[in-house]
Amino acid sequence: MVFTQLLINGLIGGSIYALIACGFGFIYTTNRFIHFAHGATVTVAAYIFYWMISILAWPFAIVVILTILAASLFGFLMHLLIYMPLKRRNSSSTILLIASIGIMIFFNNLIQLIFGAEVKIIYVFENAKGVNLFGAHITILQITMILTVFAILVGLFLFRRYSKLGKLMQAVADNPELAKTSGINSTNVQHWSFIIGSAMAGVAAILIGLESNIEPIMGITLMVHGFTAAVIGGVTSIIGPIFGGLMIGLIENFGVWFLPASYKAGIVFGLLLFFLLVRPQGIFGINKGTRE
Amino acid sequence: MNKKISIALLGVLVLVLLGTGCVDQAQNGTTTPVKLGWLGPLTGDVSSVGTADKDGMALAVKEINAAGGINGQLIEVVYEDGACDAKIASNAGNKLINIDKVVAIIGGLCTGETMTVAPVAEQNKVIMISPGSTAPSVTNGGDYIFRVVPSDNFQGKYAAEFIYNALGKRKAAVLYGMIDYTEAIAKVFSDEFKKLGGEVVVTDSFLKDSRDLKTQLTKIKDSGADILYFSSYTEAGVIGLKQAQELKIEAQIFGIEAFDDPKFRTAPGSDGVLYTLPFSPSNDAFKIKYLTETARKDMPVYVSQTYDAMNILADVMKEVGTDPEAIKNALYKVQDYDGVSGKIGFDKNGDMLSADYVIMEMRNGDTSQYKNQ
Repeated sequence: MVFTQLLINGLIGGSIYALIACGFGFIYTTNRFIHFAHGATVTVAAYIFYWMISILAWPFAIVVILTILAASLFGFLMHLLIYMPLKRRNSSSTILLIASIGIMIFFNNLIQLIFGAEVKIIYVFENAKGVNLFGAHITILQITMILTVFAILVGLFLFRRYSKLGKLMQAVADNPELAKTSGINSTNVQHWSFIIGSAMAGVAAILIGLESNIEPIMGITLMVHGFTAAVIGGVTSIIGPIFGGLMIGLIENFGVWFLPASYKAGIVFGLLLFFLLVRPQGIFGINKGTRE
Repeated sequence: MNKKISIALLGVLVLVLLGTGCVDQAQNGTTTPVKLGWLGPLTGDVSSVGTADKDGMALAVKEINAAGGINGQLIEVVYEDGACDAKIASNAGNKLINIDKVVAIIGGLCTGETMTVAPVAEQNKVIMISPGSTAPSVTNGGDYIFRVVPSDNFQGKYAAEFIYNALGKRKAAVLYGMIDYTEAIAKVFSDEFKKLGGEVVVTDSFLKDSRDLKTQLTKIKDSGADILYFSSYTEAGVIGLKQAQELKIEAQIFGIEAFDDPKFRTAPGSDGVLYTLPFSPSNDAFKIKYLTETARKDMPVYVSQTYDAMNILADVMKEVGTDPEAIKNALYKVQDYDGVSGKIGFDKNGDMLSADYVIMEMRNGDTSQYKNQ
């Protein structure tokens, strides 16, 4: 019973990490810098969701759509107003990373200023007792959560493989210079990767808001896990971050079965350190010469 | 050169101005007054409580002086702002002790204020009586450090006894957040519960920013515990209750005073959860007196404790004079003072001898005293 329960707990946590990691990886591959402010997108989207559903009390379906759109817009604006001007000045990826950390801190504090530091709880559905699944308990919401995440991730995989924009993204990811010379508007492609990647952050924000509670620091914690998942799985591949996210979720939960929970963060960082040293390209990543 | 000197002088002037707190001088009697200090937040987050408690202090002093002071000597109080901040309180405390040379300090209110001044007070043999610092660490503040509020430790003990004797539970699971406050309470609970003959079948913790307690709760469910002692603050606590409900945990959940936060009552899974809450008898006569004297609309926490602390100190000084060591020794002999905040007595650490709690129960988004106690 404990085993199946922990497996399910791991899947619930892991699917959220996978979603964050995937959005992050999406942006990373075409832009090639570490967009830590992806966490800020999650936080901002979560508070927009909270504001619309709990304060304005708008219908759930509309709020979901608006939240995802808002997250996309937020990501797009970040790219347009902050990263693009820096890129035009040929800033290195380190400068962009520092800028992204700055954005993250700024929005954390802004949210805190507007909504306060205390935790917010979102009540939409009544908390049902879990249904029994192979001796473990899981709620309908959690099942929906896992299925939603997988549907999105499968959709994303198909999009990258078969759609035109997906292929363009792949081309820019492979070699931005070559893509440019062959007539691809790489800036446009980068915009789109921010829009789609941030939309995924929006979905993650909604799921976290429904399943757990929201607070200004949530983005940082999530980003640490999402980033680790992307590194472990291989940020350059499509299924890598998904795999990495699930792996972290499961390892975290099974690790705590034997160890005190205080080791939870230690397990994640240990894993990150191990992969950075031994296999920096991640499990599914390809170590090609052209990649930085 | 001249300019430099004038700048330096200006600097000195600013320092002098900053150093001078607001000194409330009691009327100058013929004899030299007894100088006391008061330390608490007059600015910042907790200032609403601090200024109200300052009025409580002033009320006590006014009454004592009207009744003849300390054997004819009047009490003079220097009020200093600690801002509920260790650094500001440190400066304020140093000023009280080294410049104003006070005999005793009523304060600080916040634990940070008390603990930062305590070593200096101890070294200079200045009595400190805190009306509001509840952290367990104050216990080891020093010989000269007292408090008239119960240490947080008491509720761990109270809960253990209640759970063992009144609820008849024998197998406890302990889950706590990894910060001083919640960890200390959980530890006291575990020790006391084992001492009573109960068994702690599983102990687990969670990090400060953790919002996923499912694994810990799964372990607890698997352990077969019949009571879950959940020492948590609001953020992780509300989500913990929800997850416990989702995992169908059947053990009775028992929380700490932090569960009195209204966010808990409305959280899913809070129905039937019990928790301890410090009990202080309502003293209407004192409240009315305070409100009329100060023209305030309400009486916040620790006002009655401040009032009691000042009166205990005055009683002791009337008996033994103003020698710090004599006051200290006499304070340890206070065992059963009948104050407006309840019975007060000091143990060998200057902590309260006992504390009263009530058991509260959350039901349908509300909380009330548990019926079967």
